[in-house]
Amino acid sequence: MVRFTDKGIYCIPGDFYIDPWRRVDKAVITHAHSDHARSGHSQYITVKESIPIMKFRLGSFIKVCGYSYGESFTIRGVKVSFHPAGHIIGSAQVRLEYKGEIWVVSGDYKLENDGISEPFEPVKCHTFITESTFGLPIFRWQPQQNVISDINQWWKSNAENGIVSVIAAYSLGKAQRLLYNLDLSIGQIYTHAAIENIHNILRLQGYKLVEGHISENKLKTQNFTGSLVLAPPAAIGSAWTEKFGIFEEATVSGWMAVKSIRKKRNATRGFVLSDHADWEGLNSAIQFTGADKIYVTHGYSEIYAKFLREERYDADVVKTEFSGDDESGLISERMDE
Amino acid sequence: MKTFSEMIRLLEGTSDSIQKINLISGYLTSEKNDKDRVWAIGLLLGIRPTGIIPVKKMRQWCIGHVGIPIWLYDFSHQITGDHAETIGLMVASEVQNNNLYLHNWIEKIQQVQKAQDDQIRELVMHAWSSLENDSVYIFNKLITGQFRIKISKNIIVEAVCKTTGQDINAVSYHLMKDWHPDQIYWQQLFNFENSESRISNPYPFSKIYAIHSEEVETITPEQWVALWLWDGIRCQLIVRKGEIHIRTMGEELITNKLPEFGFLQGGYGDFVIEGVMVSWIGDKPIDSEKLLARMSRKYITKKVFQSIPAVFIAEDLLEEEMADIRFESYEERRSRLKNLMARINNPNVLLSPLIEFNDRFALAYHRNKARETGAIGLILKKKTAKQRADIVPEEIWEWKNEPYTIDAVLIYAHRSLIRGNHFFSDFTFALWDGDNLIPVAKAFSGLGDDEIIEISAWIKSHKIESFGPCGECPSGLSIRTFI
Ligand SMILES: [Zn+2]
Ligand SMILES: [Zn+2]
Repeated sequence: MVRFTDKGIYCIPGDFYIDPWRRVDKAVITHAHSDHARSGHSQYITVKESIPIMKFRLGSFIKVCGYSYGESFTIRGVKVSFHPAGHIIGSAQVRLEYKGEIWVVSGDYKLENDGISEPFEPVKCHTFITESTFGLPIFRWQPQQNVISDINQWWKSNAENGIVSVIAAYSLGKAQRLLYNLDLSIGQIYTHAAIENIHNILRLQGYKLVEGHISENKLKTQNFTGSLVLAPPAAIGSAWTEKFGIFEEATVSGWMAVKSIRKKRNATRGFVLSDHADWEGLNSAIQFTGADKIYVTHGYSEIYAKFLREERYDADVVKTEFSGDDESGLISERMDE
Repeated sequence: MKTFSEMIRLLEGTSDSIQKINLISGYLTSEKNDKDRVWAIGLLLGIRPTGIIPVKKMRQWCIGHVGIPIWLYDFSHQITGDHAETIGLMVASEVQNNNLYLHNWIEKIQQVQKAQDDQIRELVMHAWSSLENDSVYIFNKLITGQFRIKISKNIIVEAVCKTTGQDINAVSYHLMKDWHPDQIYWQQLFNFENSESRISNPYPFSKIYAIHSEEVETITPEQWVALWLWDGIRCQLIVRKGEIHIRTMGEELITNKLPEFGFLQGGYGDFVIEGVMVSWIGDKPIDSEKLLARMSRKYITKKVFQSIPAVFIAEDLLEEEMADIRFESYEERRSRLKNLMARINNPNVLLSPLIEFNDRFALAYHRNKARETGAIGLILKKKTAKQRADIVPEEIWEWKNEPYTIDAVLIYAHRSLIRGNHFFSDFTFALWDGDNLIPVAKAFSGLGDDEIIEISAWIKSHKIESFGPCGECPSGLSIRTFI
């Protein structure tokens, strides 16, 4: 039913692709991160909640068709539906059913309910295509509340010492998760324009995200002491952050679990929080699906597939552009997205 | 432990001196336990406990513990480049059910220094299943003797000055002296002029290591004495300038919980005695839990006083008339202690009696009889032993009673949270009461990996019913449990 091609995951009877990376006619998209939703396809099919951000990132002119979670529709005889992946707002797993055979393409996912993304729902299937960004047993996350309380504590002690706290966070995903969960009684949270743009769109969709835009004017005059600033990783260390006076920066990412990666990224203060499933998350997600056949992509694919085979699954690697980048065993600098 | 591991995590992530000074000083301010602060400075200066287990073995245990293939461990290790860290990340528990201090863990490591593999393994498993990952990392570094962090002495000196407000020359002079964290207290190290605190300062407690059976053969009545090993609160009675203070091994001051000993404040001179606080009724001590419960109360009624009287069993005299006598032999200290006890002559303070023995067979006989005396085993002390906490564990041993055993029926087995779903590691046991099985105990430790694998396989092939993470077993397996 599905073939892995040089354009991406291809559904043969439905004649469409899932998260393709080359231009195709019909693209079913799991979520709006740039490594999944690329520009140039003739037609996009995705979850309704994801459309405004996709239009913002890919252009308002794109031809896009949206469905609700759980709603099924048919493409050339293939029954298709979206199911929450818990990764970011509007992220989905794609379920395909054709002549009694069921496949699920996970996209990116995490099992823990982060309080803002539609929480992950396991979907039974025969074949499961899973990501494996953190598919090693050294990646095991603490519950979100523990990490959030660590971040609150850090922010609070900085505030007491008259230091501005700056957090590097991806504009789609981590930024909302932090803004939603951090303790706003500690101080003000400001956001970089790249994040604020996303928040403007999400606010129209009904998400209650506190406004915290820093205008050029504000940047010159405002005293930021005691507050927390959310900025995309690229903005940190630039002239932009110099304006805050004395500040301490922290990186929030699953990669912060590893000392050598913290060092490499120059992150003294690293909080381990990810929008991807950890080792146990991947294993239990696979167990939940009840699938016998597992394809692994997007991360430590070779290694994780080998592990699954030893666990008596019929597991293989999806030969795509994404897989392979970690097979040398080198630490990937891949974004958390 | 967590405060220390967090500091190290941050220190390892920065190369900025000012930040390092701030981090160390921040730690010294927020950590309230003096023993930990002294050890932390010692460790930063490069004083560390001797490694007692090779990293390779830890890797082996980790693989068994986590239940992953070796190639997956090795691949993960390539990512981190550090075994202690790899293991920390793989095994750390989510629930931090442990509030032992850094110095407690170091003590535990020193205690198993000469023990057999399985004893070391038990300690390692205990640490792995009760600490969060940064602390497991530190523990792994300490037990393998690999704890190394490059911090210059100047930075440490500056951090101490920043914390204590003392003169830089004085601090650096004191830090450069020959000292060991086991033998010195924070006040001795840094409160140079302050003699106020000295009045209630205990000495480092004697370290008592478990003896192995081969070593028992070396115990002769000519060179050794035997005492009962009492189950109670090890503490020091400190009387200086006619004022009494009672300190536990954890350096907790418990004087006001034990008004029975106020009488020592007049007429007996100054002294420091180490011994064990128990509750004694008739001719033997009662369950030590009762005394602990009494001490945790805010108010103590007369009735409680009478039903749980506190009695101090004196073992060793460490200071007399303000003179440190720890470097005299135990024999000499013992005779001074005997004289002092004769003068005190009070039923609340007893002298721990010497046990007569002719050879090691007599010793074994007494050990078996320890329960009748209300003791939990024997203490064996060399007559020439000095009271030194840092080294020579060969001079003082404990030889504990054999545990009791019971044959019980395994009724439930729970899937392991740590080792993964394929293994069963928590068990519920029951005893027959006529035709009924009455659950009596839960057990979740003490089995090795091989045993877990064997038992898990047996359970999988014999279980009658599973619900959630549990498997119900037929009443076919009975397991011998130690209590
Ligand atoms: Zn992705
Ligand atoms: Zn993503």
